[in-house]
Amino acid sequence: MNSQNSDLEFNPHGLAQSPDPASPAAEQPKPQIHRFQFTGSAGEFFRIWIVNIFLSIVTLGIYSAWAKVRSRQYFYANTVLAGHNFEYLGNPISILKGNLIVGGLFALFVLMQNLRPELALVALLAFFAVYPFLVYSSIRFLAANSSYRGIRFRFHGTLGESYLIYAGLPLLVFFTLGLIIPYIIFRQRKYLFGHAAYGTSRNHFRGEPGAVYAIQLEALGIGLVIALALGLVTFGIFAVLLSSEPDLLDQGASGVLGIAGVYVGLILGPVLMQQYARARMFNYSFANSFADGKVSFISNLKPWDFMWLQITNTLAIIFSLGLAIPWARVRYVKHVLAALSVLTYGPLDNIVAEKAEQESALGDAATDFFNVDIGL
Amino acid sequence: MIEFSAAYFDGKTSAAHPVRVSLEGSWLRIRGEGIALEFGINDCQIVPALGRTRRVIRLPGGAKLESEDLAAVAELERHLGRNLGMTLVGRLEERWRWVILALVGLVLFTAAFLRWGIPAVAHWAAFVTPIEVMNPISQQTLRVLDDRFLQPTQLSPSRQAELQRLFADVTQTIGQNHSYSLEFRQSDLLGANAFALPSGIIVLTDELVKLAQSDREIAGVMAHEVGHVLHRHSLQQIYRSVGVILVISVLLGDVTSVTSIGASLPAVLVESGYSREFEYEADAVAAEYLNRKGWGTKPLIEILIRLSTKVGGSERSLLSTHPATEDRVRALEKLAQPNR
Repeated sequence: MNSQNSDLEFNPHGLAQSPDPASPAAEQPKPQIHRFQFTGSAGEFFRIWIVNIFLSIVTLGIYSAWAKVRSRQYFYANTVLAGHNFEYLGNPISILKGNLIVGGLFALFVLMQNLRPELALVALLAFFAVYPFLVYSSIRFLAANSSYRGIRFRFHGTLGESYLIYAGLPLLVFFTLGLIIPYIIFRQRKYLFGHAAYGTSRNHFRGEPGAVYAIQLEALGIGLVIALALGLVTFGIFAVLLSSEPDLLDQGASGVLGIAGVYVGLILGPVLMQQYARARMFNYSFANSFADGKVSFISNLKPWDFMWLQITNTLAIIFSLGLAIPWARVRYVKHVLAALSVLTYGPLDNIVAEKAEQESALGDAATDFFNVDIGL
Repeated sequence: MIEFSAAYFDGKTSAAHPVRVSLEGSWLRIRGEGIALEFGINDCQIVPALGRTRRVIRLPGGAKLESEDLAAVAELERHLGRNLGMTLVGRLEERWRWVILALVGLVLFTAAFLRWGIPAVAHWAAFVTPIEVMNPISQQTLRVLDDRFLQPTQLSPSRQAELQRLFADVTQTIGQNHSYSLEFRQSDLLGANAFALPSGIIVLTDELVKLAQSDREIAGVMAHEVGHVLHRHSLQQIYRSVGVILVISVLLGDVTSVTSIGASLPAVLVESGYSREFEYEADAVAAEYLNRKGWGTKPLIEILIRLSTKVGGSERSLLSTHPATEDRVRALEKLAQPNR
């Protein structure tokens, strides 16, 4: 369900500017509230999307770099805040290079899997060894190529921290029986939000691990209830359907029913729980972001509405054989942006740019290819 | 003269300055409150249009212009002859009729590429790959099969020798200087079956030998397996699956990633279609051998029919992935040239 999220999510929180987390509200008591507007439409994006795929296929994949830039640009350019839209600056050529490298490595991996299975395992380990680097560089790439009012966003997280939270801490999951997972989520959130910057103005993240534990625990509880309920309903439906055939029940069909119920519950329970947690974490992350005492956020994404959005989007995509994807994406972005507003404690005019560096698109291509969820 | 309103950003601060922009000769003039700038138009980059979103012109030094006057910027673009390709893309995106055409074209092109493009590339790649590459994987595969499905043969040494002689005749007749070896195994799990490993190892099960009513039938099966080796079907299959995965990842690149189930399911479907084609090719090689011997294709047809009726019973066979036996039989009947 998380495939449609990656386009937009970085820019709103990157907007968070930075220092002096002290007390933004105390100094200037009257903040201005800005709401996000999304001016795009599903029909327009559908046309862009189809042409993107068509040209990508006809050019044997070459155009896919331009396609990615175009669809990101579409979402950025239609996201309007305080009268100005965002802009995506990714360079198709550097994305193409990244795509070629990732595509080549992947082809090599599939070949190896067939020719030398024992070496394929080594390749897999190598992938996990570079994974934190890919996450790190893709966040940097995305931030550096997002701009608002002519000023680029930045990401100041370090590679070392990425290795700690995307490789080091996850190794402990097994030994701590998973109890460390909310802490890892907290650290990843802090990494993303605490190092984002808009120009020279940096964002600060003031979240606490305790609150993340509370959110995850609540989501877990809800997930269990959903899993149980869905399992029972499935079991019930099948039981009613089969009750007219008592012979089948005698022949172990009831066991099959039980298993079917458990499966439905086991699959849908965690998926829905994840969506619930995601909405809550989205709100929490923004509520605890402050930039330079100039900007803070209000986010009230309603977890149950969000869950419903994701369920209906997924169903629409499945039953339209994928043709509803553009509609689902636009709907998703509209929904999320509508829940988010920005409070400014002074003019947005005097934020200063920081010198830009060239970022490699390799991590961006790789995380996209493997559907790594770095965002929210 | 082209002239329009825009917002000017200097790229150093986030302030937006309302300005008027005009093109004069080869100079872009920007005028606003406290702003009087001129840039050589060749140093300015016009970002291609995208839907009804604002147009952006990037200026030297990280500054930019943003305009809501889409028509004026489009005229500027046309006047300068910029972004011809992307303007065309924009036209495609604008009209539903082009989009529907693109959708149809997409389906047709993908189908054609999967049907002809990938097999052609895989065929080429399989024949430029040194065949020695396949030796380790063949050994490995046989080891795995030995561990899981196969037991040592129960055939008598004299029967084995007989069949080896027959095999030598098959490979000398149609084997084209490739190296081959014949292995016998018993298998409760696979039942009557035969398979070829890419390096030229061909395995017959005892059950198949017993199922055959004549050695001509066995020779037909051997020749069929030699056909798989000759056409490098295993290697082609590997290259084809790599190709299919890459195509699907491009196709779905904007949709989902290669790691999802969505991407692997169509791959499986496409590949099962490919394997059918390989069976016909191998049958053609077998027919060639049988015809040269003057036996016609009847021996292979008969054992195929017997195999397919057996599959329906308790015995499960790898042959169940083969195309409908009737179709193969019909193809083999056409290939028969009994008195050549």
